[in-house]
Amino acid sequence: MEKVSKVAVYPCGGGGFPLSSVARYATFIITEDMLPGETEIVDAVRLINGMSDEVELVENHPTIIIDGCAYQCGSNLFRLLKLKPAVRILSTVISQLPPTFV
Amino acid sequence: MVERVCIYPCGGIKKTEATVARIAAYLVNEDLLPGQTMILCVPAFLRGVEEDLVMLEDYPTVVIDCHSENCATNLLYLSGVTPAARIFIPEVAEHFGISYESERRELKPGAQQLAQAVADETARVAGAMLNNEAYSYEKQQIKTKTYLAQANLPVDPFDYQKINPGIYRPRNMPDFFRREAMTDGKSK
Repeated sequence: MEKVSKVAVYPCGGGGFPLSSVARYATFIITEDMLPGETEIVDAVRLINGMSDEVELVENHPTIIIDGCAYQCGSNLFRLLKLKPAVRILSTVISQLPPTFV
Repeated sequence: MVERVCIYPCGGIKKTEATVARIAAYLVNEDLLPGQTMILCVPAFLRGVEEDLVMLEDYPTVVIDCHSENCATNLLYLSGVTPAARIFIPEVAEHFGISYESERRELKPGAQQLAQAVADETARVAGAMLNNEAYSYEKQQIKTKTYLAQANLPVDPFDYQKINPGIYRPRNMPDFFRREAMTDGKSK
């Protein structure tokens, strides 16, 4: 098993709810302050557009998804692209909602 | 004349200009044209959230591209929807002589000034669509293309026509700044 050299972090990327800004802000803290050089942000729009460096990032490195709201769009994008994240972070606010809503 | 305008800011995260685009969209939506604009949430749109599908199909969309990679424009191309206009941030910065910092987490004064300039230009375009009686918009239908993340996109899928520094219009979409009636609903 190969040692992981870098972890990709994909925060929600939305714009409609404050929690998407929270997810984005948390990702900046992780990649710039806590684990610089060892983590990299996934840019969803560049990924959808097929930018080779973005595709390489999610194909070759484990990805942590930070879902911003109950729609769980971050997880859904990976499903659309037939990719599996290594882990998903779901905020406490969202996780306390009824399962039917989530 | 239309009831509302959809604003689609880049949606990226890696560049300072992506944050500029997002903040500019909030300024338009909350301060400059409240109640008359909506912000497209890309992840929600891709997930098929109804309100995001409707706003893109039923109302003209102003795309804010933050970089020459044109990710916002290209996402609409992949969705089979033609934007009503495009704002290109680097040209807005150049036109107004704004230099800005590289901080992307929170905008510094230069980038904040740029966000305001982008918001003003976006509101000028959206305002023209909202207030121009000669302007009409035909509803579109999303036809998602299946090659997500495949990088086989045309360079200029909408044949953008530059109408002002940083402001573009697809060749086959109506001219929002033109005041007189258009016989075919469009201006070439």
